[in-house]
Amino acid sequence: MKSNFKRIILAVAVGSVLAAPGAAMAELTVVTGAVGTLSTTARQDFQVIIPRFLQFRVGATAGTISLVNCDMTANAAALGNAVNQACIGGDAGGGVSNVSVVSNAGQITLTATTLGQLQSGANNMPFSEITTNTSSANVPAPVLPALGGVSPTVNVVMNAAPVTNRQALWTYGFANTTVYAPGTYGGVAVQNGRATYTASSP
Amino acid sequence: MSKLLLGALGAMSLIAIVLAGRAEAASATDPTAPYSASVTLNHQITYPRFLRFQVGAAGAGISAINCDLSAQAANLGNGTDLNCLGGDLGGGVSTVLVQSNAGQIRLTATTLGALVSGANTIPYSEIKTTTNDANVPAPLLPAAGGTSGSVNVAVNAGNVTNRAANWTYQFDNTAVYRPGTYGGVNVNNGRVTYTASSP
Repeated sequence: MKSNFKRIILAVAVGSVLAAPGAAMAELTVVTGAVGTLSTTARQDFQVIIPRFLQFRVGATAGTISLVNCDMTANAAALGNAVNQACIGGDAGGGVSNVSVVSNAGQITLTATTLGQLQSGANNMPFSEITTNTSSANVPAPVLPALGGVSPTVNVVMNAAPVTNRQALWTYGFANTTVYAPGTYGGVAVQNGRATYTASSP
Repeated sequence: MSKLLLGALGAMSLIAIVLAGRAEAASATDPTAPYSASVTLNHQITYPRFLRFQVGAAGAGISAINCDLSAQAANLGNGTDLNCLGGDLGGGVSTVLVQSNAGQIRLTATTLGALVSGANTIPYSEIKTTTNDANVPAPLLPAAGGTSGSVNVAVNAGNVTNRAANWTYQFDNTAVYRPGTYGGVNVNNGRVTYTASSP
């Protein structure tokens, strides 16, 4: 009788040990079996959090502000003839800047803000002399305000609402519509040389 | 004296046999000097055919991998792998253990569908798994649900496998996705089931 009781206790204990892995320890499991396929599982949960965001790039990355330089020194024969002249500089060279707009926040609009005309001492040159051509109609370039201010908005074409992932090259040129007094107009954050582009979501 | 000693030795042997619980037969009879005695002791170990499998913590809970990209806005969608959090080891790393004596063990992964956030989805192909031990390769997580192809865990010798590895999860970041919290703890298709099987 006593021996039978011990056997019952032992059987219960063994049964508990065998049952425990499958029931409670979901990702550490053990199965046994003398023959046939042994198969067991371990589970894991996954979660991805995507923020609402807007990335915008014009020119170089990593916090550097690119410079587009329209040096007309070698173009004296063509000055004022309304033939567009190429510039240099930009992060891609040749007056070309990389533009990227990436967002999941809906229709993105772009504007350009200038502080005023490009200056060289007492002389001025309107920003309308700076032309911008885009390599992709999906990323149109806002017109640089000639005398300062904020341009009208242009829309970046979404890939699939509300996601935008567009890249383009903006090529800057000198419109060369008239003859200006000699000088160095604008510059690196001087003489109204810095334009600010703004990308906005709804 | 010698008989007493012999008797004591015999008694001790019997006690030892009883404690071991493996006595099949024991005898000690030698009335002539020099005395000797011998007993036999049989050993038996019943070793089961088994398969042990662990992904994540060994305790009661199911581990979670959390790819919180809130601080990664500048990199979203640029194709650069982004690190995740969580896993039992932290940093999006989970412990993996495969032990068996049942032959070639193969692993598969089963997902219920793409990760869901409301009406939006992210395919599981955006979750990348890297193992630190080629002996324990990680099955690809099925992008839109289903069961992956199987991968083999390298056996150590014969039918025995005893392998441990760390699996590191990252967000593959190949596209731009709508904002939201995708998947989760047994919600929104967030739970993956890994299966280990013997032949």
